[in-house]
Amino acid sequence: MTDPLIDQLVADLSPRKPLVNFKLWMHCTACLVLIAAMILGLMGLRGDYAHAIQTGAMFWKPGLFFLAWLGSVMLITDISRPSGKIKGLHLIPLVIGVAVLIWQFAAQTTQYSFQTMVESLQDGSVPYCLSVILGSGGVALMMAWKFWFSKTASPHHTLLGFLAGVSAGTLAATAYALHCDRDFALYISVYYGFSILVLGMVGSLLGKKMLRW
Amino acid sequence: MRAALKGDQNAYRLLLTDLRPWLTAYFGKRIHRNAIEDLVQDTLMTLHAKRQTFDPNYPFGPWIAAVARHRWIDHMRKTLKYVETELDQEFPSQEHDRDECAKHDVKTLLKLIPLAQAEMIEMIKLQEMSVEEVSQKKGHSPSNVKIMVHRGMKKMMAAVDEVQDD
Repeated sequence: MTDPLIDQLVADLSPRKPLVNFKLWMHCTACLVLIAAMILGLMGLRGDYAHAIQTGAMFWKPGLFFLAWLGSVMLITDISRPSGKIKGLHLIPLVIGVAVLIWQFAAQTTQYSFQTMVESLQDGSVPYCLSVILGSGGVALMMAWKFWFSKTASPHHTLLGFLAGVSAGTLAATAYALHCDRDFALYISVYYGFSILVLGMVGSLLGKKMLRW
Repeated sequence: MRAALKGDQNAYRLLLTDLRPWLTAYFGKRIHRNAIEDLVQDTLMTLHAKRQTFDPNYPFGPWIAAVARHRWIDHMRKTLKYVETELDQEFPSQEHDRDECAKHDVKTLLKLIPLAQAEMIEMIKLQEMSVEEVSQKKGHSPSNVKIMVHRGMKKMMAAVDEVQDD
C-alpha cells in the first residue's frame, strides 16, 4: 500500500548537511576575529594599553565578555535540537563573567567615590560605544541567524533567540573592549549591558516569531 | 536516517513507513483517535523539514521521540486555547469533531490540576453548563467560578509546558 504523503516526502528528499556544533564554533570564532580586526583596524587598540596591561583592565574587561560569549554559545549548542536540554556545566562561564564584574565593582568602590563612578556615565563616548556594539553585534546576529539559527528546531525557541542576541552582543563587546578605555564597572554594566540586552531582546522577539516549528 | 540525510530515497521510504505505526501508537495513548492521523502526518512533515537537526553521532530514537512530543505539546496548547475561547461562543459549533477531540484531550489533562478547579472546568467546558448553574450547584459566586476556571486552564497550560521541560 502506498502512502501519498510518504511518496511526496520521499520525492522531495535531497541531501542535507546535518547541523554540527563544530561549524557553529568555527563560524562564531571567525566572526569574533573579523569584528575585532575591523574595530582594531579602524579605531585601534586603546591608547593606554600599557597602563591597562599593568592594571589588568586589558584582560578582565574583554575577558568577562569573552566568557559570557563562550557560555552563551555553549547554551545555544545545547538547545538547538528537538531533544536539547540546558547543561548546568555550560552556565559556568556566564557565572564566572558575572563574578568578575562584581569583583571589579567591589575593587573600584574602595578606589573611587560613588560620585566619580556615576559621573563616568555622562561620558561623551557613550553614543559611540552603544552604536559600535549594537551595529557590529547586529551584523553578527544576522550572519549567525542565516548560518545556524534558521536551521534549528529548539524546544525553547524564544530562549534560543535571546541567546543568539546575547552571543552576538557579547562577541561585539569583547572586540570593542580592546579599544574602549572606560573601565568603570558601572559604565560597563550600564552601557555594554544595555547593548547586549537590546540585542538579546531583538533575538528573543525574532526567536518567538521565526524559530517556531 | 543517516542514509536519508545523504539523499537515499529507498532508506528514507523505509524509515517513514516504519515510523508511521510507531507514531500512531505514540499519539494513540495521548489524544482522541480522530486527531491521531493529522498529528502523525504533521510529525512526518516536521521530520522532513527539520531532518538536518538530527545528529548522526547520536541514536535516532530520542530525536524522533522529541519531535513527536513537541508536536503533541503544540497540539495540546492549541486544544486548550480552543477549549478556552471557541467553546465559549454562544452560537452552535460547526466543528463537532473538533469539539469532541478537544473535550477528550482536556479530560486527560484535568487529572493534573486540583480537583475543585477540574470539576469547574469539567462542568463549564465539557458539560457546557452555564456559569450561573455551576455557581448555584457549587455554592460559589459566578465571578469566583470564572476565576477558578481561568486558573485551572492556566494550570493545565503550565502542565503542558512542564512536560516540554522534562
